[in-house]
Amino acid sequence: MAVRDAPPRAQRPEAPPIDRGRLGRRFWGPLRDVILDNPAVFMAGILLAMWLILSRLSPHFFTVNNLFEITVQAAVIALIAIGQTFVILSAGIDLSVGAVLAAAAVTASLVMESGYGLTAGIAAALLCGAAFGAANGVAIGVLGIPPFVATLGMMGIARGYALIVTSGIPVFTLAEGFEVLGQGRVADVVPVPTLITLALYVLGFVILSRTRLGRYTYAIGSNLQATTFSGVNVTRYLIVIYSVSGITAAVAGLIEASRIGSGQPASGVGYELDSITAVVIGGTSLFGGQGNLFASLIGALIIATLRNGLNVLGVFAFWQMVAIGAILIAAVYLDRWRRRSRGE
Amino acid sequence: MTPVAETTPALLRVRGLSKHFDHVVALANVSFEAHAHEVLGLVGDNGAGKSTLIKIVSGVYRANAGEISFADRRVDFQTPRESRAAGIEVIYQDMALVDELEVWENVFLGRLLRNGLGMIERKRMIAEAAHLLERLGLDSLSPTTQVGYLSGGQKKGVAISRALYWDTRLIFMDEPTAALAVVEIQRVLDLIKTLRDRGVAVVFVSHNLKEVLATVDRVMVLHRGQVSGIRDARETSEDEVIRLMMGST
Repeated sequence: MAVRDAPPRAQRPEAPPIDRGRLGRRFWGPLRDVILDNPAVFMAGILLAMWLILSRLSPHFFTVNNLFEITVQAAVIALIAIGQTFVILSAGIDLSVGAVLAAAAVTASLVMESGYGLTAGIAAALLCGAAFGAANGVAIGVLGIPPFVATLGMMGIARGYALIVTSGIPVFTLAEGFEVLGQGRVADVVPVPTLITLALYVLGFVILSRTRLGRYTYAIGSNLQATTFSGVNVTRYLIVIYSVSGITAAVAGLIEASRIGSGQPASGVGYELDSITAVVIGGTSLFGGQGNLFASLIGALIIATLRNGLNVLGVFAFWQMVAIGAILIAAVYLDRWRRRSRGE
Repeated sequence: MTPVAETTPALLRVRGLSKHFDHVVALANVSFEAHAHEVLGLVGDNGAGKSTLIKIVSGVYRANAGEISFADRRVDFQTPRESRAAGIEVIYQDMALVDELEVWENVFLGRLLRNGLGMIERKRMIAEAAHLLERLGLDSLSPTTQVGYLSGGQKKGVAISRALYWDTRLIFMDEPTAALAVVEIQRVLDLIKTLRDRGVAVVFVSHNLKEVLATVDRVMVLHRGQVSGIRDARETSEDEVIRLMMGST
């Protein structure tokens, strides 16, 4: 029962060999193992390749300023993708994040407009996000509503809330200093949103790999029944997991409101799909239990790079949608292929 | 050697247990005892009530009538968590292991140890899992292997070591040898005997009567929700057990 040298890849069932020629065979074997073992590394390679190609094509691309600009453009989706990763790892999905982003942004804006100050505004946004997230968790964990439906419903509720409390009109009066969140730069170089995003990714990574919450998130997504039978309070953890998603959407809402200088009740439309795309491109499985957080950051960077790169090259904006859609489908195909190769 | 059942007080006492689902009677007036240092076989045809019995004792289902006492105390478990806290573990047929997690995480699933900062104590749990596997003679199994890569027998080994770590006094094993290779079956049966020698009470559920009679001390037969007989394994035969399973005495 020597486990270490248990099933070598070569003995796993494989599709009939395709003749790729000598060169193909030599490179395909090791490459295949890298992709199978660690899709995140593979996607990081794709990101680097994109950067290299774009820097050859345009002198404006590979500059410190432009690279930081990409991280700023990626920040909002990357932040939402943190919570979305937690949710997808637990074999769920959160469609409400775009609407919750708007709800949190207008809540913060209204609190600041009413003169309660910066701290109260930020706290209100985080509470708002946590509350919508926890409500998702209750609907899913307590009422047993499938995540797709529960969060689709919450998408409508949160968007409706944002429009009702603002009467559909953006809030322009914000607290002094709020603009630093989205527009500030540390030492005049590193954008504040980039730092916040990185810090939260590190925090999320520690939670996922080193706390009960994180390990049970994987366990719930991998085998719900076994996790329940092990005595894990799955309902409680689901509420926490969806709250995390609500909170990261709220942070993204704060940064977006700060960047555009107003609380927009109509902001965040479609962000749920962008965040899911980022997570899936990073190789996290929609079936739950498999994936890692930094891969989602890479996914968000790939999306931002595509948009930025195609802009720099002067490609018509609508083509970006085609490119991102194609990459998403390719990433899911990669996941399917990986599972088949592992005999799952 | 005098049978354990006659020399030690019962660890688990079940009296008059009944359970019905709507109009279907799953268990009717079931009474039996399980002892430390003893393997009790539990056999019966499909639908005889074996799984229902396990689920009631472990707190998954609630009985409609009857009483259970464990370690001389009347118990009424509301959840699996409560029965586990008392020292009862169930190793389910479909294993209840999480494939995506490593061996040590599965051993500690539901009870991951934490330090003062709320971080899980990974190193300590890996060391303890390794020690545990060694005690069970499973030292070729690395605690940091992902469970999805293990064979069926190795997974049973992990499930059993998990049960053992938590000072379990009574283990229900539901078809532990189903779908295993021949070599692995023998390994699991040996593990069951190891558990018994360590003073654990084991209830062994299986369809394979040869395995049951070769492993257990006593065998209890269920037929349509009722106990149709409890026999000393050395004094009964496969034929008699089959007759009891069919409901004739």
